Amino acid sequence: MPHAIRRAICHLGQLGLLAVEAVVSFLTAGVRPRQACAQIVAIGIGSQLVVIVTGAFTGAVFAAQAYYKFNELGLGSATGPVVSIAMCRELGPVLAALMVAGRMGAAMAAEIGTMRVTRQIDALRAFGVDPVDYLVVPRLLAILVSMPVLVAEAIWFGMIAAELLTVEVFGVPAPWFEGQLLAHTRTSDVVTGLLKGTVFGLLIVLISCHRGLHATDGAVGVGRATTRAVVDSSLAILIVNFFLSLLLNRWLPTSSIDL
Amino acid sequence: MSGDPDIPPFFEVRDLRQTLDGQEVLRGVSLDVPTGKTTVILGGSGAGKSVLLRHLNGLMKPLAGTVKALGTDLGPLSEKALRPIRRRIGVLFQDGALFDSMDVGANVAFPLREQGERDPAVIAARVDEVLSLVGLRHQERKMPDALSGGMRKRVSLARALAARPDCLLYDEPTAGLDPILSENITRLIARLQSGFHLTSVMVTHHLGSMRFVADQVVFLKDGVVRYAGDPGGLDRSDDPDIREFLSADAMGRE
Repeated sequence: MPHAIRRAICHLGQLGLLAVEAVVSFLTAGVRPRQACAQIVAIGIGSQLVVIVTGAFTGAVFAAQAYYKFNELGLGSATGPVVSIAMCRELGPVLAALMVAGRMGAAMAAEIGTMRVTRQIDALRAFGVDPVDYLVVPRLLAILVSMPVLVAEAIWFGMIAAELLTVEVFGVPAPWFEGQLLAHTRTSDVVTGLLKGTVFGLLIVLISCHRGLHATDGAVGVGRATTRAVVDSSLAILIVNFFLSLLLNRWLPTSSIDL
Repeated sequence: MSGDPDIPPFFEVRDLRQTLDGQEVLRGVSLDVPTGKTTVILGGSGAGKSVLLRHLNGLMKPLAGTVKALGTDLGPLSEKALRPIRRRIGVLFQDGALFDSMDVGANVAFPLREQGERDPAVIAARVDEVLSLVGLRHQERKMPDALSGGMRKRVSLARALAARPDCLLYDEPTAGLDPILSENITRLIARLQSGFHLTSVMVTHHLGSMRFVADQVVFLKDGVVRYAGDPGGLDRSDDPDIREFLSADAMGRE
């Protein structure tokens, strides 16, 4: 057990160092625009469909569950605000980040891990190129640009799907649903979601790149690094989300639902 | 030793020690690599040849001892401080280590771009020139996974040459190639050597390659230098391990 704790602390330390290296590299060497654009396309545009589908179905299923229960209590009108706050503050950023971790975190760890075991990382260094500057910084920048957009899309499509279900299937009047939803959704709710998504995105890149950069033992090692990147990123998202929720609920509180 | 005493050695290695996974791989290696000459590091598998080579451009830091390139001790240098030195040293990696995501042309142009060359015409001309040197003209658009082992090595050699380095490090340039390809690569290296007078360090276990290109031979066994001198002297050595290595190679050729 102490060995496991030591390893975890060592791992966290390495992640911290990678983050510092990336910031220093960004400040001193800038960003490679070609690499950053390629990563924005891969992360931002490539993840659109999966994030939209996740957001839409999560919003719809949450609306259904909320409506059934609230309607029994005569609180059917609370469905809109509850879905909105849940999508903005929790489900949108967390599920979008989990999807990006599964899709792009795995890809990053596999690509960088393969480069590591086939000596391409050594080749970069041999040509005087810093692997952090070449591989990590463009991905960090790309996720900083992409993640808020992806989270906003997940939230937006979640709300649209929730409205479609509540209005078209359960018969709640559209103006009532929209009025309640807009009245109880604050800017702070949206900002919370976007902030969380950005933090989760940075975690995904740092964890996945770190796993890739430390891959060993050929193809088996790359597979192991890929699995660990996804698992570690997903756990980090869920754990950090808990602490961020506590913090942001104090700094950026939501409105009270007054029916 | 074949170096000119008036010209300082390109690399100076003193009492270099290194371990991998707790095993001692280099045990006090000392050698000079003369400027403008070809030094071949010879030895069997696991002798520590490639590990020694990785110290010469700072890809590995010494556990103890010093490695100097152009008079600069590489050990204490940061990655950033190593960059100007590394840019003067080209490397041909054992399996080529070509960048999978780039075609041949982009691979070869990579060191040029990294050294700040932005003019596409200049880059294209140099890429064409070095690909012609290695016999791969008009192959710029091919991706690395479409190349044979020999072609990958030649592209890697072209990439190493592209930025006009002062020194080339070859890690097992003929490993995994059939005898004909192996001889072609060796002849190519010898031709480049005579044409550009680069300082070269070649790690190999092929005596044939060594005899073709070497000005100086270093024989490593279990992380210790057992012979360092001219290639002819190796054949006259009484060291039983060297005799065994030479006779094993002779048997392999029969």
